[in-house]
Amino acid sequence: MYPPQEDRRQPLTMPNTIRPILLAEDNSLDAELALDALREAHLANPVVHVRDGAEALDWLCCRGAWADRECIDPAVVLLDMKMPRRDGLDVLREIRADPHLRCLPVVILSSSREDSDVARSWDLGVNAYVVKPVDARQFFEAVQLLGHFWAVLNEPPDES
Amino acid sequence: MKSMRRNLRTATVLVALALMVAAIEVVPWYLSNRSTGQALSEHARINRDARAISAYIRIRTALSDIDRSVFWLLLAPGQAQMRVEIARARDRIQTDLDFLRHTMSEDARQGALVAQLQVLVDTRRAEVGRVISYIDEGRLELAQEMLSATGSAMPLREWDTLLENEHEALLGWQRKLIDSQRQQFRHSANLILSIQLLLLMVLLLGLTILWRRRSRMAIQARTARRNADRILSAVREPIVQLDANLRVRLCNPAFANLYSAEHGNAADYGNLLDVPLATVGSGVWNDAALLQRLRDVLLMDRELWDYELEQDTPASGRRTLLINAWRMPERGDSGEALIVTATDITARRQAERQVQELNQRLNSQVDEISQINADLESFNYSVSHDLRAPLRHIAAFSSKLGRELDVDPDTRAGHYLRVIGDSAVRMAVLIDELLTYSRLGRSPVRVGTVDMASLVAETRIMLAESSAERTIDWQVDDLPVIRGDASLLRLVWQNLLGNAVKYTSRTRQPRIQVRYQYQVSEDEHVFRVIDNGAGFDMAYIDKLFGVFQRLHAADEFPGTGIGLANVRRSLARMGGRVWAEGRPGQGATFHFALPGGHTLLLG
Repeated sequence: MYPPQEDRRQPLTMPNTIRPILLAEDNSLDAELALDALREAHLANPVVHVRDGAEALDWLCCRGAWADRECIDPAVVLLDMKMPRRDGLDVLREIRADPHLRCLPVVILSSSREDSDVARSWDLGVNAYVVKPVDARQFFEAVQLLGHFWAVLNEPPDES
Repeated sequence: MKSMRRNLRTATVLVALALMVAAIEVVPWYLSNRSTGQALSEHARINRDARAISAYIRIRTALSDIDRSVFWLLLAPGQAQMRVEIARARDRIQTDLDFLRHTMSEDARQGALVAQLQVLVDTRRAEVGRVISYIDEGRLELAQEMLSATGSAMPLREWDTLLENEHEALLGWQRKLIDSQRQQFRHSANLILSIQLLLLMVLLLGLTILWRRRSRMAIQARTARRNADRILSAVREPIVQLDANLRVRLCNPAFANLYSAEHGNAADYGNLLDVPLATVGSGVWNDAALLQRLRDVLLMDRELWDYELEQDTPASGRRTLLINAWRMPERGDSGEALIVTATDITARRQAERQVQELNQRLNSQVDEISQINADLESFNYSVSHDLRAPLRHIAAFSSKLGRELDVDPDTRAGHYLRVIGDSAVRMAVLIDELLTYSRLGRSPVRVGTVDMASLVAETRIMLAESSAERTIDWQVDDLPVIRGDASLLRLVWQNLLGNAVKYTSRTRQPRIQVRYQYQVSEDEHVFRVIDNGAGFDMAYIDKLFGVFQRLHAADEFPGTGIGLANVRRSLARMGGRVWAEGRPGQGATFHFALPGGHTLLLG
């Protein structure tokens, strides 16, 4: 039903492929759908799932529960808009304020197409704002497209 | 300027009067003086002439006396008495002659006459002397002869005639003199009379004018006083005039009605006269600060502005008054006065309190509304975030279920799963549309310049994709540039033109017209979208613009039924309106009007 895109499966640039994709999503069903979609995209990148904004920031800054992880920046941060504790916009604001993280690609995944949400996200310097489609096929395609684009096509700046 | 002119006029009048008085006094004096002088000199002349005549008569008598005496002497030569008389008569004659000569010396003719008379008298005297000497010598005959010869030879008769003439002339002269004097007196009397009459008339005229002016001024003053009284009575604001001791000197009925009940009949404000203000109305005015301020106004010529005084009256309860006072310098001996007005602002204060209460209520309502709006906002927010997630899950997991169970889409189970997914998507669309509709009512209207022609063109391009297989006959007028919210207007065109395209999808030769007209009388831009599509039954016109109201089955023409509701709301936000007419199978016409006065360019 969802044919994988064979030709894009093998990444050409090694450094990007080993970078993880960070998915911050509090809704377990949404997370399940997104993880499914990413898995079916057959990306080399590992996917890290955190359940709220605070956790996402801890992971990004290698602190708290992730104090001893190997500190590699993610290829892309997929942020749900509405999350407990710190919401998507909080996380985005922190990332853009942090001198080490400010260049990270951040995509807001939201249920809402409220003008104010879109405007605030772009104000804070989001790289993309995506409204989660209700239609199952469209949702899968959207998530896979994002994964391919940011993890495979996109070229991040040098780590140094 | 005006007073100067008035002074000048007064001076002129005074000078004229003085001149007239002088004329009345001086002219008769001058005239009578002149005529008197004339009369005196004439009289002197007449007198002189008369004396001359009597002198002549005396001379004549004396001559006769001499003749008679000589005759007597001739009869009786020894009579010494006669000689004495002759000598005396001769002396008299000489005296009179001297007098005549003296008197007539001024007049040449008379002088000559006197000289002739002198010669005559001398001659006679000589003759008489010779007669006497003849008598003395005794030659009486010779003396008698000579006497009779010379006596007849005397030209005294001529003289008498002359004298008579003179006398006549003198009388005539006298008569003439009297006549002329009478004439002159009459003339001067007439003159004086006319001047006096003239003066009298001028005086009368002046008096009349003065009297008229005075009475006019009196009427004016009376009218002014009456008007002032009327105004004072008509003013509903209590007004009172106080004297230097703050006693009531005058007040209007409004004041009396309020405060004179304790001093007698309310309607009669005479009862309040000379009552000290502090005791008026059982002491409601006895406010130490106010009385002090009023005294200050009197003493220092200050004005009292809007002094607020609370009065408790048994009749009308608690009143709030605004007191204003001015000093009024009075002429005459009535002294200075104070005008005090009292404006009752109780009602105003009450109204202010009411306004305040209303404002508070309004504010609380505004707060309530803001709260409701905020609630609505968060409701919208949670709808847009939270309501869509379950739908997404329904759609996605039903699809996953199909894959998991490997359901053939063409079987009944496949159909059910598809219905579940489609319904979830459709509900999400409905939610989106409701949110859009809700947002239309809340988001601010951003008015700018909007080119309706390009909006229509843009919408047509967008719609062309969905109607690519059909050829629609578009007839679009020249459209204006107007003032409005571009995104709202875009939504209007998208819905109206979208509907036109949609409802002509089953028409054989679809035609869509966009018409524009500027209604001068209403100052409105009116646009019309006319199609020859499915149309609608006017019986349901009231449902046309409702939310999720549809006049056609969804499988006949797809749609949710919110488009026209959005159109109406968008236009309402810009002060416009929309209406429609149609007939089933014969097309529909949608009109919408936007307030004009904003046209930048026509066509």
